Amino acid sequence: MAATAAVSGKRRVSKRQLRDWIAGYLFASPFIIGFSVFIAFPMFYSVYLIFVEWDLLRPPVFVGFANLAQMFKDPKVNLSLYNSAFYTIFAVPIQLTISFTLALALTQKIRFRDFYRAGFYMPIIVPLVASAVVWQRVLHPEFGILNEALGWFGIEPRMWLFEPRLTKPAFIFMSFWMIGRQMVIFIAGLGSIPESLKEAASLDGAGTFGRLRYVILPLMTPLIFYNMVIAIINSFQSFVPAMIMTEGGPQDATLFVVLNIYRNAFQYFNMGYASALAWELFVIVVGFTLFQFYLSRRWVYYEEGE
Amino acid sequence: MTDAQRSRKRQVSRRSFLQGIGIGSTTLLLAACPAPAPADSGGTGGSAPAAEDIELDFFAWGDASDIPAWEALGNAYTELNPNVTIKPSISGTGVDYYTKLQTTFAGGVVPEVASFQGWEWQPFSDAGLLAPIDAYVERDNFTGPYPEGVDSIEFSTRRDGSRYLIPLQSGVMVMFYAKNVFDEAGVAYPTDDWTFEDFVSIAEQLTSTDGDSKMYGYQANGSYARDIHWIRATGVQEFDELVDPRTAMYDQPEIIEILQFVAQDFMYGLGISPTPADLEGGTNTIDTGNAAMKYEGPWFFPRLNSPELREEGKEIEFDVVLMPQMADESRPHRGWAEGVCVPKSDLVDAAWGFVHYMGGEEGQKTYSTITGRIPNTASLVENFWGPTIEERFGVSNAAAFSNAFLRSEVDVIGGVSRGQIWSEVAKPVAWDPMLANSATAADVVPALNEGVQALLDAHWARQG
Repeated sequence: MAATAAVSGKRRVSKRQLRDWIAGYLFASPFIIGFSVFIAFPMFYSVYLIFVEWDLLRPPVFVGFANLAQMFKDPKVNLSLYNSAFYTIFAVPIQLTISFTLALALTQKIRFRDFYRAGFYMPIIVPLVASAVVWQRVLHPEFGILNEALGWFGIEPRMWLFEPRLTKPAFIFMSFWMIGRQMVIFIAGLGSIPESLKEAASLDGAGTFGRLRYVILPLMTPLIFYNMVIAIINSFQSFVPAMIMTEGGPQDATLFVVLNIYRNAFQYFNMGYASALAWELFVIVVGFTLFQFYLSRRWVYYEEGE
Repeated sequence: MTDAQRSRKRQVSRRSFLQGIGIGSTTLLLAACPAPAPADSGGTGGSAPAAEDIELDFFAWGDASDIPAWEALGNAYTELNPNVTIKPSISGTGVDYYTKLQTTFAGGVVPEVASFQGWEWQPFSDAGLLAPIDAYVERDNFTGPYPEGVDSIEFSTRRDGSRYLIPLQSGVMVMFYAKNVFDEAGVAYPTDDWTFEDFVSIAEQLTSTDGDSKMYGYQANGSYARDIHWIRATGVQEFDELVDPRTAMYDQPEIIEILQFVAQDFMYGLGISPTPADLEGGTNTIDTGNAAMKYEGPWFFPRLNSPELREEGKEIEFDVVLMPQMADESRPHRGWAEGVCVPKSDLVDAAWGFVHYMGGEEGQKTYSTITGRIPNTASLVENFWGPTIEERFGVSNAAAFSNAFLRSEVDVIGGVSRGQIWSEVAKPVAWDPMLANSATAADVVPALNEGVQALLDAHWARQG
């Protein structure tokens, strides 16, 4: 029988192997079913929705590529992409710099270090909606803490959420409150750098900045890359602050991509067009991420060979 | 076989235990999926038992003043009809409400009764989702809420020849004024025959923003929906038709002029209104005691004065007056009906029983008492609502609401919703720059008109 199987090129699956496979799939079945029903099926269904017009009240009507054509002509699409890109380009590097600097500081032996670590991480567990309401008060033009603090330095109060040129910077500033997650990852990475390497660098005459530049940073590049990819993806998906605080205003200055998708889907009930916009965002983010992975070969150092 | 071997044979192995957990979890997960509802057996002939237990799902508007009213109405109806249980699903307000409602319809979970504002139910009827109620209205002689000759009621409740909306309140807005501000300034209260010039003069007299505590003569509303009144009072309208418009007409001189006033000059030129920045966080409003007048509706009563506020000593004594006379001698006010519709289902008859109760005299008295909203018939307004709001909220000029309603007209009803006009065009293109004092009405109205016209054109192109 084994010879017959060898001649036919097929390996017969033994009963034990089949039993193992069935057991494996059974264990994984809750996840497989949940993923299929709640993630995979909606994703593929939304591809179908790109080619229909659907207002949730009537059955979908096939419209071919009309939604895609509209997407390329709609000025709001370009505006929302610009707003999201602006936010990402400025927010992400500053977030990474602040979180890395904080991580460096909070890996030193200082008093109340654990208290500071917890304090910087705490905003992560606050619901986004609650954060948005609090920040609305912080950015209040008349009673807000931010303008109050700026006043100590002689700076005039600013209309943070009412002037189009100031609203995105205000949102970028807000985003620095949520660097706790990046900081924790950097702290873990810094803790795994062998002391022997830093000592060797010291013996070779490297000072603090020399050790940072030639030992710590290269070894931290994988985590910097990871945090950068995640931060960029999250920045492109920014939605709650714009929805709660400014409704996309003033003058569409905070009309981000996801808010535009939400409006088209749930305010204008144009599900087909919203699906097209959602897949456009997906393609852009995936493309951007792949490009980052390609570039990472030039600057990310992995210790165990490339 | 040794005892140990026999023991091991009886024990459940770790692999079997884990397999059982996996199968059990999967079974539970699949069991959580709802079973398809059994097919209705009404078509098999014969009548249903007289006291068949019925549960009506009521997808209800979630305004704070409405929630206790829905519960009271549901309980009262169940007391009269013990076999009927009303299940209100409180579902938010504004855009959130309609998002959830449409998603509910799309999911196939159709409520038997649903709240609607008078300009929002039309897409549902166009999609064939609502049950026409003409036959029930005629059968039960339920004509009180549909007075002849009141266009705002007609357009808010009827479409394509069929009636769909059961009014639970008549909607109209007038000028609220805080009496203490007038008393302190020694200014006489406004009267129904006042003009726009009188209004501006009074607001200027009452405005004082120099000290620590600011007082504004008028709290401007700062949105297209609320500024519709000012537009129509000039004698023109911003569309060719108010129902299913095809042409945007914002670029008329009268509209540009009045928008310049209400959306910019009130705040920056005359300084009689707080800016949006001043209003941020709920400050500098009539209900914080920092504004003398505001354009509002009956739902606003409890914010200023109520038995509860009087107990706490926090009431603001107020009254109401018609909006000032402007160029249009007919003095139009915004008006509409809000209420409930009956989606098509197997329980339309039972649902009609409940909505008929809510829209009838007893239900209306309950609803109006709790919410302060205007009832749906003129007789109730005069004989019940007027005395009630005077007692509960201190309003002595209830006649202003009746007068305003008799001369009311709808905002805009049609395929492009007022909400879409606002968020997609009016707010970013026109109101935001005007309210920020970065562009005048003359600067922004051409783009506003162009944007709204594009929405209308796109809508009609889709209709074919």
